[in-house]
Amino acid sequence: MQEDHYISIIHKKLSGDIDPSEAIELETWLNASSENQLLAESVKKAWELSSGFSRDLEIDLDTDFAILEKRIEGENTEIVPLKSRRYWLTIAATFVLIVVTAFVINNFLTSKVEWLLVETSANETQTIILSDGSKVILNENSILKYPESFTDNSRNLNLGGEAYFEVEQNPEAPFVVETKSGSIEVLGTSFNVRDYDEDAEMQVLVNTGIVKMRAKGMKKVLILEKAEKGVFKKKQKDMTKISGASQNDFAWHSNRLVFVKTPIKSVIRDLEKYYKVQILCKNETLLECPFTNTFNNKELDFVLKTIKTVYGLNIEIVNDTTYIVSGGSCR
Amino acid sequence: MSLTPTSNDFELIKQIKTGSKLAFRALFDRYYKYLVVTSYNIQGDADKARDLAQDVFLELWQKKSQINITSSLKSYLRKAVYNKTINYIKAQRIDFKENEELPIQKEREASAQQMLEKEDLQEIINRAIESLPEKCRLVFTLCRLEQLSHKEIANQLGISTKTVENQMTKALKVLKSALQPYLSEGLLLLTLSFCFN
Repeated sequence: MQEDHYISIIHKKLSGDIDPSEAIELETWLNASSENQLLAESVKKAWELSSGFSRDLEIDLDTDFAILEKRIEGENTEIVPLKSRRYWLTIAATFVLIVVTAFVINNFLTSKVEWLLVETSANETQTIILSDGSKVILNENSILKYPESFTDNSRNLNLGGEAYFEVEQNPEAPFVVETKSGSIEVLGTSFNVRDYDEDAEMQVLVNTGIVKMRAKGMKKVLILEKAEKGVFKKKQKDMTKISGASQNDFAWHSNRLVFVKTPIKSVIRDLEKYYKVQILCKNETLLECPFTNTFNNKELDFVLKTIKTVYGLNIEIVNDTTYIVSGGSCR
Repeated sequence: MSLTPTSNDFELIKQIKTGSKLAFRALFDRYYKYLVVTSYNIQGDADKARDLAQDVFLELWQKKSQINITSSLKSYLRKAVYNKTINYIKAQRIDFKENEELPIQKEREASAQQMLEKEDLQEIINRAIESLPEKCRLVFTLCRLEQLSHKEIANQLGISTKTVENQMTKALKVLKSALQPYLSEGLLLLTLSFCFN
């Protein structure tokens, strides 16, 4: 087929492998019709976009690590020949006794806790599983200090920066996160803590469960429940509760933005925060327009294109981090 | 000596060498998904991809005392899973001479409806690549994702460069047909609005 022949030549050109005679042949063919040009354009675009190909997978790290561990253990078990089994059993029993005794003595003597440290840099997030199964997702430029294993009646850690916690239920051992400005105590729940040095406020946002928030040097305690946000103004030493907080505050780790009849001005604020850009809206009537949509793992360009289509806007890109929105109207 | 795994790869390896299961888990959390996706993108079987990625970590743990990584840990791990993936593919003994059916591409004009349907060109291409028959997609992903030359792909898979070129042409044909309706002259607007950067 003729088309195949030219696709092959275009491919050679794209991979830098074309020889002069083929190049001339291609030129002639391109000049022959706009259909040919469109074909070439399609192949070129397909080529460019294909390097961005990726498929998303749901991976449960816990499950897969458990499978891996079983395989590691499997490699370590030795098959003991029947003949010498009884001899080995005696040895094994003695060994077990010695090990148990040593372990008990060791535990008794060492009350020292091994503290571990995880630190993230810019644009980096990290997930940490604690010894009780609780999960911490650490945001960028943050630091978490936690013990290798928790004691029986308390679970304490230190946080600088921002993290999202999913805490395992344990009424016997309250889970306490300490930051520079305050502390958060829970029994079992999921919540976000934000206390960066350069922020004027410490913020705690609850996803599920109940959380007790305390500010350093203050007697007052805030009890926060689902979708409630606690804000501590560091300078003014003022701690208040805000209800109806946005799910989009969790977007930094869920990568999901949800808008339900959300006024455009709030949409812009959430986009600015998550994508770390500045968006200026020149059309003031647009700011109150309600917008409904959900975005999962999408690039900013995609989101803006969607909003643009709904309201008939113009979007101007000033640079990597600045966008100007103008025109359009509520429908 | 206290155990303090930090976020530095080099530190983690040091800890793993001393037998720290915790550091090993931290490394796993950091790179496992990346390795699974790398393998999956090439050979298309998710469960096999998980197996192969786990193989990499298993071997790392078993030979931990001998680890000596001079460059980036990430590329070391990636190379490991890539090699395992290629070996797996070779073991499948895929017959490249056998002709594969191309998905039926209907030439159609994108309707105004579809324009408004927030369709991302990248998503269209991704779906088209996924629809490619197995051998064709394999050659294509090795070329575009792993950035191998035709010669390298031919060597890795034990086929001729001509076969590689044929498969690439087949793939590009499918992809361009998927894209073409969105690029016809009247719809240039969509392309322009898509090209934000």
